[in-house]
Amino acid sequence: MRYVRILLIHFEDAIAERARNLVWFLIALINPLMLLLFWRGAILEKPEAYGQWNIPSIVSYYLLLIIAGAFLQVHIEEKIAYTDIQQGSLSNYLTKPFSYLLWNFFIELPYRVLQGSFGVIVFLIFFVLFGNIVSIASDPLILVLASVVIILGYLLSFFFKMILGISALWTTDFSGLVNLVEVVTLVFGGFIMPIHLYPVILQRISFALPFASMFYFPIIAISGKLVVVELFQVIAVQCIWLVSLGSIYQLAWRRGVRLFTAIGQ
Amino acid sequence: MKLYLRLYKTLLHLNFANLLAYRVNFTTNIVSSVSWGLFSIISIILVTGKANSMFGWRRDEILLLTAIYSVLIGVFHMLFSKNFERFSNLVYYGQLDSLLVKPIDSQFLVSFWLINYTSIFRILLGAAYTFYLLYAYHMAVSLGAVMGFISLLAIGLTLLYSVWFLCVTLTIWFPRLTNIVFFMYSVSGLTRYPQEMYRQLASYVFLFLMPITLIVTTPTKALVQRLSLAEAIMLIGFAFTLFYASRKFWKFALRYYTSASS
Repeated sequence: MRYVRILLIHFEDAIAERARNLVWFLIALINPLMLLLFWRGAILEKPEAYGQWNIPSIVSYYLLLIIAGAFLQVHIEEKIAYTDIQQGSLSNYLTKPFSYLLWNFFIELPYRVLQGSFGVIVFLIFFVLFGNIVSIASDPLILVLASVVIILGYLLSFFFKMILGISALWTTDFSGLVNLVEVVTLVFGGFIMPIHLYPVILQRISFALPFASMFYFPIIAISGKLVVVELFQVIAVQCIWLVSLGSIYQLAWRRGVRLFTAIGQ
Repeated sequence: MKLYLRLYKTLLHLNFANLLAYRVNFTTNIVSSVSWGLFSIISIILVTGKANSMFGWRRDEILLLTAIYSVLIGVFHMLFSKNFERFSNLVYYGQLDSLLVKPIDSQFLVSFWLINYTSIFRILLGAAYTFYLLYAYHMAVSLGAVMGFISLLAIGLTLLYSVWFLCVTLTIWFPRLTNIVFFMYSVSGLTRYPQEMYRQLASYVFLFLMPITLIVTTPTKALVQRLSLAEAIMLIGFAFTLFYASRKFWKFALRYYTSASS
């Protein structure tokens, strides 16, 4: 119940800061829209080069990417690194009878839901205007499994950013690492284009890393590009990553918190 | 003018001293800068991987456009973007007062105070990739084309500065929107695609975006000798008009600045 209260308080904050959240959403919106325009031109020029990826599937991919960028891309790491660790606010959390992990989960969730809902609005606008070129899965079983993939994708993204955030307990400057991880996420998470269109070597690297499980698979799952067996395989891989990242987080937290001096850096 | 040149020379020294004092920060900023430079190059290589031409541009020309974008955006980040980040925070925390009372032009102070030397690495990356592309694809460039390219790049930089300054000035009225600077980083990314790509959009959207789409496209066309006089005039016209507008808008906005909690 107390976590529900934290969630509701931060929902109020997220809604109070809706203009700021809209700007954050617009940032996530611009790049996929530009890539969508670029791809439209590319496919119209040489449609045979892209196999099963035609205009409707690419439009759906980038529209879903907008939602994924807004909802699944957790941004808790800077708050943890700068406010909690470098400025010393972590003391507030350590002295309270709450789990730091859960507290941050419920702080972040409202912002993701609000920004994700902006993405859904954009998707619906496209759907209403160009219904025939926007497609998502319609089979109820696939939709249920895709929802599981999305939830696991969110959890993976959350754990990954928590680990990234608490890495500031060992470092004095965090910005370089954040930017490097951002670039790696964009490349291997499918933010440039569908990973299945990458060169084979990049595809292998992408599928060996957790970023595809966070963003790419949720997108192609909801767009109906995976059959039931493949969805179960994706869920299994996501569960393995979740256990791994969860364990790394626990280990890093137990060791890192001993280094915290509560006076900032 | 001499005063401002002397002042800028001092700022160059101060920023360099700052750089040497925080060496870890320097290293991580190089990582950031080079990462984003590599990202724009890798992403365009990937998305053009299966096409020989798009929007009337050959693949090598589109890659060249990205390389030149890296150079231009590197220069912009070195000279201006950190200042705009600082500016939005100055407004938010009500600290702009301390700049306004100084006997120096306020636009100069908010635009040139910080110099991000680490962006030099992004410029070098972009320049190296430009030279590589010119060599690898045997693109012939004349001295006149290079001169035209450099001049138009400088004008494009002025235009980009003016667009950023116009938008960031809005924080005087909306101080909570400090993230508008990050929005502008995304908007700057629009310049790395061929201008012709935006013709797919509705005409009013295209016209709205037109100044931004000219910033990198026009100098690149000058380098590959495909530039028309009309495009060059448009870039120059937009640059000077928007620079003048940004100056006027800044003076107008300052009337509404009410210090802390504005």
